[in-house]
Amino acid sequence: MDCSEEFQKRGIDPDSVWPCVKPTFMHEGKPYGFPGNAGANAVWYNKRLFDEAGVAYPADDWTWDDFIEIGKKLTKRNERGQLERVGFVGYWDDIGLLVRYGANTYCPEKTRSILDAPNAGEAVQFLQDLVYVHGMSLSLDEEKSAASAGGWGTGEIALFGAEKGAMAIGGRWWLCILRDKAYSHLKLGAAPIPKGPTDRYLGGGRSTLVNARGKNLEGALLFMEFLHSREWSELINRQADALGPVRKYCYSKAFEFNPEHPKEDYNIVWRRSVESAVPMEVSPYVNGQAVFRILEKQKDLVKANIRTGAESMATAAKDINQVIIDVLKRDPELKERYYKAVANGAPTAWDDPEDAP
Amino acid sequence: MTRNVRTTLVALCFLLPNFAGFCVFLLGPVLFSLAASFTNWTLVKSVPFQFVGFDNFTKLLNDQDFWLYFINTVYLMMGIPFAIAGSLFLAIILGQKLRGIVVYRTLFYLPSFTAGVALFILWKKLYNPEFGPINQTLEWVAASLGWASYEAPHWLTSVNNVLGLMVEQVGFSVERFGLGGRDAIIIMGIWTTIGGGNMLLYLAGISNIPQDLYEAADIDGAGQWAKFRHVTWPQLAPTTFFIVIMSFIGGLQGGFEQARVMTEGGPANTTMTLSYYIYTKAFEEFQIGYASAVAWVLFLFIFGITLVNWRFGSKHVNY
Repeated sequence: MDCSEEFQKRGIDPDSVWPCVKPTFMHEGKPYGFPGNAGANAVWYNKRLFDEAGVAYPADDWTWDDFIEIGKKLTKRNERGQLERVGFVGYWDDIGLLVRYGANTYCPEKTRSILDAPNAGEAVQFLQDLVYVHGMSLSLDEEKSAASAGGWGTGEIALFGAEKGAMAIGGRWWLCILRDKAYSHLKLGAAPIPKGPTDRYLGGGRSTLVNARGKNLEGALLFMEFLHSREWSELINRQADALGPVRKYCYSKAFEFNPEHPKEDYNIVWRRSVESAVPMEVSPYVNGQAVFRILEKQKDLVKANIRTGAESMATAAKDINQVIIDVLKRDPELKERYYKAVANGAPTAWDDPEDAP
Repeated sequence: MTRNVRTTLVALCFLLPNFAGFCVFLLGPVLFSLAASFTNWTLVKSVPFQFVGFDNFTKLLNDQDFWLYFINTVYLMMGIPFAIAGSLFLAIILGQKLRGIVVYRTLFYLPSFTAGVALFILWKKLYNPEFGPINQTLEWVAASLGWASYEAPHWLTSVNNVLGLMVEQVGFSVERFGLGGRDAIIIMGIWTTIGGGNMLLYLAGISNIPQDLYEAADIDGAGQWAKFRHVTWPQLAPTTFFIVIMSFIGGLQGGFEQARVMTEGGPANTTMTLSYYIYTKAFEEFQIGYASAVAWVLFLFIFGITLVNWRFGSKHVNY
């Protein structure tokens, strides 16, 4: 339901939220719900492992070269060459890296995938080099081994929590798990994503949308008011499920220091991450799940060292553009909208006019 | 109303619940999907629903992904002959009248009534490239034989395969020779089915072979292999015929659970089968019409192969 009128009546301001979360509830400038939280990734690090290796904690302005140097120092292998600990737990935040490298999945009009741009290939190549050149991250085999071998658990959080990785890229919401007493031995730190080539990083959040045909619209709208309230944002901030959706409630002393968790001296890092976060790109001309599968396939090939970053992104762009062409062939409404955009100068998903739908 | 008519009506009433269930839960959906396969039905409102004739079928015949996944499906069926041979071998061994044989039969049958997902998770751990017992054993054997440069297969994380099939197009490549995800699933499949229903069918078949045939063979001086070749194998022809047909049908339909639990179709879609492809098209991309078309083409493959099996296999079946 377009909640513009109701939000105006109730004093709910859609512009009060973090910019990175807006696409999750806004469509063509109108709000259809309200976010429950907002977040962006930063680098978690294990202070105990840093202390043990005699490595200084990351500075706020550290670069990717510093990240690699630190990661290599913190990587440990046994006499058989098997990894005991990695410098960086391999969360292949490829989309996040693409954003950091200034690459976009789509052109501004979302009519064409531009992952074949050089910076997209460089971003993915960087992730591959972490494994095969610098040896500080998990290969596909090692990732699967770590995920299922006894004692390592599954997922990046479990790996990081089991101190099998000294650093990991993740969100503030990891604290929902890492605050568990099973991880009370951890000495946690957080640092911003290393600098360069750009200052952008991926952000997002989850939103609750209002169903126009719902049986209890008044209840739904009251819930929207609640999500907009100080009470909700402060609850999210205390529970560390990323950050509260309304920006102004994240600039309080209560956010920066939580007396219930006095060791968490890094909340400002998460706030700074969200400040510069950009939302994930979506295109109305392609199914997100289809894009996800295309990217996952290319990621597998890069992780297995079969393809380079540039090759994989070029193939991904070609496949996504083909999906766009297929969608336009069967959806006349979208096709009309697409051609209007093209008439206004948007690039097409095809290079050969014969491929036009 | 005559007695015959009344009897017939009573019989129909007893059959009705089953028939109604069949119509509602099987025949109806099957016919619905047949109709859907001729439409462009997606769950997207802006796509007007219309009949598109054979467009879906034309599209899938030109869809490289369809053929790649068809090849994957057929590839995974390479294990069928080994599974059938293994079941027969086990049935012959377990058909002996030995003390405690029931225990062995139960042990071999165990995988068949263990939950599939539990087995797949277990095998995922067995296939762990660094810590899994399979690779640990292989490396120990290689070290014992002095093969210092031996590298164990990467199993579920490898796109290699014994035929050297390429990943992104239909073709072969020397670089892709090896053991990978598909082979891992085949080996697991053989282990799972070798002591299952096929073994039971063979046990039943063997127990039905008249003993006087073996006595006659003994009199003629036949050894074990000759008895198997000239008595056991021909007498089991009907059982083998049935098992081959059912295995082909199962093989063409299968691969979904393994892919979903163990690999999600990866690495790089090399374990994606047609059944999983139907699932992703229908329930992830909401292209119900196209997914239905793929399902019906798969049905036609299965039907065609079953007819071929029936035509040529039945010649060798002696009753």
